[in-house]
Amino acid sequence: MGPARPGFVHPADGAQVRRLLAFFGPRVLYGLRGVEMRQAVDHGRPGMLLAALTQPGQAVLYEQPRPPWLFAGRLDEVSHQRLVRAGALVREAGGLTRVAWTAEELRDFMLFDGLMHEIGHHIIENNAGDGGARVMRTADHEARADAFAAACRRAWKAEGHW
Amino acid sequence: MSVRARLVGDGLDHPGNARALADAASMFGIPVLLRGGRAAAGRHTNGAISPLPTVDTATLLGLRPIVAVENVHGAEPVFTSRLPAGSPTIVVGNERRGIASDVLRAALTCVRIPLPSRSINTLNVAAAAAVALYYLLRGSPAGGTRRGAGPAQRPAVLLLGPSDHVEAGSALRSAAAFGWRAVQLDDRNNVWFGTRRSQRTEARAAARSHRSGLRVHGVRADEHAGSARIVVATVHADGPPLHRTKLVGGAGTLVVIPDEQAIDGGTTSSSIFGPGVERARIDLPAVAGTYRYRLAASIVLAEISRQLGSRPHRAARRPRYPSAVSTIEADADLVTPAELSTY
Repeated sequence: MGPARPGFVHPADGAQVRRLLAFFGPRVLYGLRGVEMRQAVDHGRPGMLLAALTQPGQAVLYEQPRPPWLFAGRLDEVSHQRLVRAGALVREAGGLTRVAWTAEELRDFMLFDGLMHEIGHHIIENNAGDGGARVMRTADHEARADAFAAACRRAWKAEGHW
Repeated sequence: MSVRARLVGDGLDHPGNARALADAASMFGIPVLLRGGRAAAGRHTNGAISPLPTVDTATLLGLRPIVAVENVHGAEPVFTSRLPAGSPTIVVGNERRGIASDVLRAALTCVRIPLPSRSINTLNVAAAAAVALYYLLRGSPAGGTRRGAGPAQRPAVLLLGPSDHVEAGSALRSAAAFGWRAVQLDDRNNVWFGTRRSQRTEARAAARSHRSGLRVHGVRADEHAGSARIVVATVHADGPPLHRTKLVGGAGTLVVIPDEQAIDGGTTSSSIFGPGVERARIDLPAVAGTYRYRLAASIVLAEISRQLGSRPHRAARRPRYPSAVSTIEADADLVTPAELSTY
């Protein structure tokens, strides 16, 4: 785990990640080699990187700025809906976008829309077998990973955890 | 009259390459055509030399089946490829841009020349044509490359007495592309070392010296007399065909490629290396009167590379699926200082 830089945080800690993975059990753990927490990197596009599947079975959660987040410009439609759905308060004014979070909402956002979303990608790849071949269109891959993350969030909430 | 095959240069820009391509076709006894490019526009004629025949796009696309020699995804290695039945048209592309997309789309098959180098990933266009023709026109595939002798069996190579600096440079480029990191050169005609500055520049450019990383060691061929095993690959001399000769064997094996425009590969090799030297014949159907060092050398180097085998296969890197919050940059208008002061 790479410590977060000043002004940044890892919204979910290692114990919370382990607890979440243990809750979902073998379904998400199969083939998962590790979850890393790293400092943020430039991914070459405007915006912020949340998480990634860097190689098969290896998920990475990136540090995030302390809330509230301020962006130059506005959020794209998909990101806007995703943040609002996760409970963020999004305000756009004067060419700036402000995203306010509570600590719990940001933690859950990183765990479900970050980590479980990437594990959704991992499960699709893992079920398709070896070979590195393209399994499906990227848009379909993303949609299925999103659906998996949403299902995990519902299952977790239904049990009343945290 | 039907021809066995024909060679087409698509969009070649360099007149020297067009001439070398014509020589490659001539070495294999097939006609050559040019489509587009500056070389086809007649600039290579230079008064004394007759222009090469050209072909327009509609005619070329009608000359099917088309076999494209291009390093594209899914292309078959030339070592294991077969020519389609009929009178196929083998197309090689522009020096930088490759084959135009209309021809690629019309091609029945694409073949590639496997190159182990990570720094030089293309051959000179005429050299590529010669290598492709050598394997495609042989009738039966030369065999797979996966179970080769392995990289430890790579032999030492000696380029013996090239008589032209560009030919020497192109041969060295082929050596780098086929994975050699060092090559020995007997520069008895002073085309590489100690030559004029202009020739030197041209030769280094042809060899892609600025990025190949190939070390060229100047040697005298007779220093090798008495080496463990020496194989001289020649066009004219008698000997078993190249593909039936074991050209690999590690650093203890020396493969000599003489420039037979200046050196008789048969008698000279014996006089330099002694009676125990082995010979391998480069099978070319119509070499009489046509010879280019870069073409012959590239064929020999390709055959050694085939015998060594391809690099271990690595699975393609899986796609990453970064999850991000994406933003759209703020809209902004640019104003000039004059507009600002007016405002």
